[in-house]
Amino acid sequence: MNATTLVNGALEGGLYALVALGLSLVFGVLRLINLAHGVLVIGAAYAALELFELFRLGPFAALPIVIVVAAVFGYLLQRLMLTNLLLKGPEAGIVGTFGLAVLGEAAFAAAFTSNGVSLQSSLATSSFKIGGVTLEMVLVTACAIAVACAGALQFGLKRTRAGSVLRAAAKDPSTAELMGINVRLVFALTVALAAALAAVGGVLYGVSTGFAPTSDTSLLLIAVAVVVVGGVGNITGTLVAGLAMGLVQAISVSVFGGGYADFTVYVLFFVVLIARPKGLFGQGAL
Amino acid sequence: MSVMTVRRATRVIFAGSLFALLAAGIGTITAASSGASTRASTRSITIGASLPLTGPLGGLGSDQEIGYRAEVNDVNRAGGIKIGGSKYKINLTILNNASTATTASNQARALVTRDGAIALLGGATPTISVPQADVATLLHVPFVTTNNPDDAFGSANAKGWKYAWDVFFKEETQAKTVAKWANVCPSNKKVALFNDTEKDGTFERPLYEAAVKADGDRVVGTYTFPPPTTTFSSFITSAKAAGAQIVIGQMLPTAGIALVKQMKSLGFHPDVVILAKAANAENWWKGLGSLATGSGMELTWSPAAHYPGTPQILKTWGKKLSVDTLASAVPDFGAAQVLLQAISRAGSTSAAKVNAAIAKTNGMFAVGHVKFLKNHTAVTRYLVGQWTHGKVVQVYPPVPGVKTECPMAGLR
Repeated sequence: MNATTLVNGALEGGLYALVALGLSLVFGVLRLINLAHGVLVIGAAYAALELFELFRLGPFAALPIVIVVAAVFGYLLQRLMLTNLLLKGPEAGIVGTFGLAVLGEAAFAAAFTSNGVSLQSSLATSSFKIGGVTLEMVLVTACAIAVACAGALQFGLKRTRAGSVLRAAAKDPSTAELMGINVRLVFALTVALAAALAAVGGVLYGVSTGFAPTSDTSLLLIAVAVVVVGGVGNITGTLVAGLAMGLVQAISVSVFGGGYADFTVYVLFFVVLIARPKGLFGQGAL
Repeated sequence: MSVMTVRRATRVIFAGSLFALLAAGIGTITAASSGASTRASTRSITIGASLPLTGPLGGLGSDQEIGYRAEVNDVNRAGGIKIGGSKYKINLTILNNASTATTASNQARALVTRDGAIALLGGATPTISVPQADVATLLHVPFVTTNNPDDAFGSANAKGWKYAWDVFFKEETQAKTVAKWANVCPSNKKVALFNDTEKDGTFERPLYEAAVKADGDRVVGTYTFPPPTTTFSSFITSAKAAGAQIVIGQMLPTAGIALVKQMKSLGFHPDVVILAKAANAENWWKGLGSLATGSGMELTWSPAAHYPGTPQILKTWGKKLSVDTLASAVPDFGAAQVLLQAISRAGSTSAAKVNAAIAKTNGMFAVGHVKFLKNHTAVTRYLVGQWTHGKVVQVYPPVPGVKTECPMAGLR
């Protein structure tokens, strides 16, 4: 086991955290496990790929467009589908997002084939050295963006009026509505924000590795594990849990071999679920 | 209207419906048993194929559809298949099993019992083909497949296959050919093996080890991982530290793309890289771009192999499909040729006669020479191609005027 492996493992965890942030936000505010979150992430990667095919836009030039498209999609998803489903109970929301995930996978396969693809960027093949440790540029970037997003989200939730409104709506939607808060709008904007975060994660994931229509499932599973270990709705917890998951995965691969990478993560997930059901860092700002 | 009148009317409708159902059923059974539709205007037979058109094997399945349809269209354009003095049009019914073994098995059964298929063409990889071959064995329906390495398919039925036949290369040939190609380039002969834990990856790993050792190379790292792993930094760091200059592997395309990107990023620049299965589609180039330049790819067909029909294939498809797509689709084209020619030689749609005709196959097809062994597999050649400027050229066995580019330029 060497330092390069460990550091890049932790940085990979930053990418997991970035992917998981939106899921944690929706989980914390709407009390909904959005099973279509992986599809949003992969959808963003495919959107960036399409922008490259159509306009030769590189992944990072395409990113702002992908973020806006994802946010609008998230907003409409909440207003047109999830609101009505959630009024019928949390199960309907889970079933609805599961259906969307299945539909998304099929749509991606139909539009882009099932072959693995990737987003081309020099970032994916660049690295730099610090004291003999080689750091992958794409993972450093993903980790830095994850830290920036988590920080901005934490600040926004705790220190701004919009954050107070969102927290009020999350804590007690009925009372918040009585106080004049448009809860439906708040929820829709939350899903839009989560989709935008998923888009950032998706484009970086697409740059760092290969993806296919079925890649959403493994991403969703990792994101759920990160959210549960970090504490539902706990933004800082999600970030730390993501980094820890990446590190644990790297250690397990070095010690036990490649077959145990995911196994170790899920063992950690179950241990935390049993020992600390509210996650290692408890429920956070939400 | 009295109650009695209503009841009588209901009984008449019920009896009429029953009669119609019986008539339809007898018609279907007759058509199925004769294996052919004999309407006055057009006579036809049905061939079925359940293919992985979506899911992880979707790329292979789509190429299979191209190959199967091309052969059926060729035969139909020529007036149909000649069976016992008459010509029959071929209906090719293709279903999508979404890369799921259970669906593949159920669909194979439905193609025979519901759609009246007299024979089946198989889906890609043993995961899909073997359950379909089991159904064909159970229903006594001839089944010809490809994209299944021979030993994996031949050994999948302990009692030995009766109605199922496979046309593809042998795993040992694959390992030996790859090892020989790897040594075309000068290197320190240190090899790192990267294999996923899918059935073929697990099967191939010890064969690769034996083949590279037989060629005087040394395996300095063996790395296995389950799909959908796409993080390889610890393996790459280890292989780099061990000084490996040859990378041989077998994995899904998403993993292969990630591996090459991370090798470049972590400064691991082996001279030779061949990742079977991963590099076998156009998306390999789309995903990696110039990074893929110089990487190896397995081929079962290439224009340079000069198999029968190559000029025609290039003329018909050459402008629409790239060589890598053709390399994947032509074996399926060849498998369909084997089946249809056997039906024609049998002079009947009788399953036993068609099966006996398949067993006697011995000739040149689009995929090379086909002669079935006792385990019902026909061994085709394994060729190695190399990606150069978005195109694939055969480099091993050597082709006059074509040289393997060493070291792998994409990683430099």
